[in-house]
Amino acid sequence: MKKKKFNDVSFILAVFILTMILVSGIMATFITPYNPFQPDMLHRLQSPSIEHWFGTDVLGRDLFSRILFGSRSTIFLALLSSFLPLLLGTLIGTLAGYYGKRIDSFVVLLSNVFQGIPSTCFMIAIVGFLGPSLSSLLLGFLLTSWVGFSRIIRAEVLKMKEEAFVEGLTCIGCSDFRIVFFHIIPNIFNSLLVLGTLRIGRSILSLAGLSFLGLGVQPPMPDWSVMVSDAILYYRSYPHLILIPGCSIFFLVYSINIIGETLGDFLDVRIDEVRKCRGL
Amino acid sequence: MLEAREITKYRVDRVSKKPIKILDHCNLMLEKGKTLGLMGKSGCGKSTLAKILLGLLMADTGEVLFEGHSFRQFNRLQWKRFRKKVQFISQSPETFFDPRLTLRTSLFEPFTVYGLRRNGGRQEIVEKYLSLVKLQPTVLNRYPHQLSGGEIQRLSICRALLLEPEILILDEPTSMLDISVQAQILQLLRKLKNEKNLTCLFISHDRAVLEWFCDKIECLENGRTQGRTLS
Amino acid sequence: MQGALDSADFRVERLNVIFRVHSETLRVINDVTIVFPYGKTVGIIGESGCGKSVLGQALLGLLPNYAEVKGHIFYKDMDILCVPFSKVQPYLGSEWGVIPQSPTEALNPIRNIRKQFNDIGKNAGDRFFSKQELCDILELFGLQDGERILKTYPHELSGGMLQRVLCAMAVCGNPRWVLADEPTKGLDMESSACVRENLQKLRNVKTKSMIVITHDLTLAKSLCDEIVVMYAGEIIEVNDKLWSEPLHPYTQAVLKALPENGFQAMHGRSPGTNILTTGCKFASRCVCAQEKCQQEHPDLYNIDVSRVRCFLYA
Repeated sequence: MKKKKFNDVSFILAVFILTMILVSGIMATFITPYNPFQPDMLHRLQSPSIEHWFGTDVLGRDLFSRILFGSRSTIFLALLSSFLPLLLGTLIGTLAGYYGKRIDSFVVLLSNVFQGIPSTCFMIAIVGFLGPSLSSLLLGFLLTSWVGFSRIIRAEVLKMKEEAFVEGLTCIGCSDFRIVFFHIIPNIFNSLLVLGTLRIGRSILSLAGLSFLGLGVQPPMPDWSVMVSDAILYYRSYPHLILIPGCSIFFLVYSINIIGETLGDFLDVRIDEVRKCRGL
Repeated sequence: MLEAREITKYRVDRVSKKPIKILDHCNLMLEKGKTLGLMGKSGCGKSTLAKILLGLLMADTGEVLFEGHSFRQFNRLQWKRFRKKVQFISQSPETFFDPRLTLRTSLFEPFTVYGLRRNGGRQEIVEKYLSLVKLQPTVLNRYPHQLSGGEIQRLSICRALLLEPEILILDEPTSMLDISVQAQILQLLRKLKNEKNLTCLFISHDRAVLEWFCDKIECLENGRTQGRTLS
Repeated sequence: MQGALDSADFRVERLNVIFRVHSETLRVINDVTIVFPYGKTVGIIGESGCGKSVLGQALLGLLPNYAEVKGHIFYKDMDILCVPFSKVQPYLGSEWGVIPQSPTEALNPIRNIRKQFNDIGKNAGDRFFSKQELCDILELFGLQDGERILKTYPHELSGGMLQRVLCAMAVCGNPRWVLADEPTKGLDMESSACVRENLQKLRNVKTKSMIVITHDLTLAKSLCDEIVVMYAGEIIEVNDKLWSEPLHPYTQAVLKALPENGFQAMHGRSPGTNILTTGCKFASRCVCAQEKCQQEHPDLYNIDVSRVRCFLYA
């Protein structure tokens, strides 16, 4: 694959799209033409038109306004639901990889247990048990996704631990804490970034599934995944109801992935340089 | 000063899954101000013995004594004191520094770890030692991969000396270097160890280097230390 | 030149190789012109970073795609630098045998030795090596139980045995040329002696046309008919009596740095490949340097059959 640079068209486009989404989310209160929460049964299920740029939904609410407002909750949840498990997974994986032996065995046992449980059912169980709310959603994501991260991080830390510079750091007296947080983790930061950004897309789609079951973000709060799942009953006759939030999700995930990849490749540049210099 | 007594270490063979004895009741004694050479062919366990002496690995039986106290009884403070007094120079210079950090950060690290020179003066001390190893201060702005093997080796010597150690353990420091660079590094090391009256353990497979550098040579064969050969 | 187009010499003409890294331009090889004659064992010696490994890669058409190359390398009627890799690939294994660095890392860890021999044969014009043929070659390098070894995987063999296997792989296609890239790098005395032995055997039995890239002077001394010395991307000496009569001040200084001569070090370091210097590249470190050396760049001057790039011999 060709390495991505900051002046690539795809990167610039991705930054533009993400900025637009973020700005529109922040400025939503000021720029929405209609009240996204106000039902208007006279004008329900309208196709995109001059008055309603994206049309209206099943309750007559302006889709454009709902998209703008919905970006807030979608982005918030998407980011948190990826980076919280990443954080937990990194912590656990690092401890397991660095200290090894008993801690590692315990973590491996824990990982096997958690991975054995089907994640969707587990999510449903947690959210259903605690009631659908933001915190229960996040807890659900946390408990189902930390294992995947932890496994990969553990492998990377194990590899890093064997590097000669870690020995050198121990010899000059660095504490374990310092070695792990100032040296090992920065060196695997690239992998963390990629893992985190890849997870975001999956989280948004999981959320759509949960919303379909009524366990996601609760109405009347607009959220793109909720809008997608709500539209499933109507997509044959009113495809715009599913296409528009679907495309918004696509653009969000696309731009985050491209930005993540480009940043990752940028951090990798040094590795490229090293290879070229050593080629002598 | 630093002594290894009856060190035995096993390793599990990757293919047969059986434990293999790498070190078999080894004894080694580093005397103050003297240089001891450790000779043996590749894979005979010299590096393992060095790591045990540095506390990077734990021996299966036997003990290592530093100033009369055994490693097994060390508390955190004693370990920190040990690490300050005993420094290590390894054989693969390219991987010896964190590749993400500039060399300035890597060289300043010992100060941060021991909380020294918080109020400034770090740059002067580092520059003083850089001139000792014949390097310009401009190398501090570079990354490890931008320098040659010889320069990195000098920098690792520089970092080792910053803490003013008493003992230096060198594990094949010149085996990856070219002949001409090897000569430069050996001359530098000999000058420094004489000036600072350092106690050294020099590990190598090259008899000629050991005979030139060391006061006494110990051979490691089949995991056993054989007894001294005078150079 | 008689039969120049058919000769199996490697003829390098005005080769320049540049790597453009992120922020700098690295001039790895500068204007190198040399002939490696068929039937002779030539050693290329020099420090790390002098360009010898890159020269080896260039000879085999294995330069990375980000390399900017000018000049020609002729082998028979082909210019290796001008043809696509697909035209060069058939030569690897059949006419050119390669012994890479680091035996423990050079082989595919998930294919056994027999299969890797088959891979070489396939590339070398769809040749099939019978078990007997392979056992014979392995025996040549001191590996008696060839049958067992063919079934093993690389990680089951020691470094020394892998080295011999690599030598066997290099010659199984009966190549005209063998190129060995730093065969003794990082090895101890005993293993280096083993490698020397293997390469001698190779030279005696299979082919005398070898190019050995190394910074191990003992190896070069015992094996090579002629030595090419490289420094900072240039050839500075070509000499077949290097050990007794070193010509260039750099070569003389390197010989002084040998253990038997007391590790006499020269000061300074070789110039980085990103630095453009006028004049002789060794001038800043040379004990015989004059003003002329800083300002003008010396050519390769002929002294009998040797050549040296130094104004002392102009």
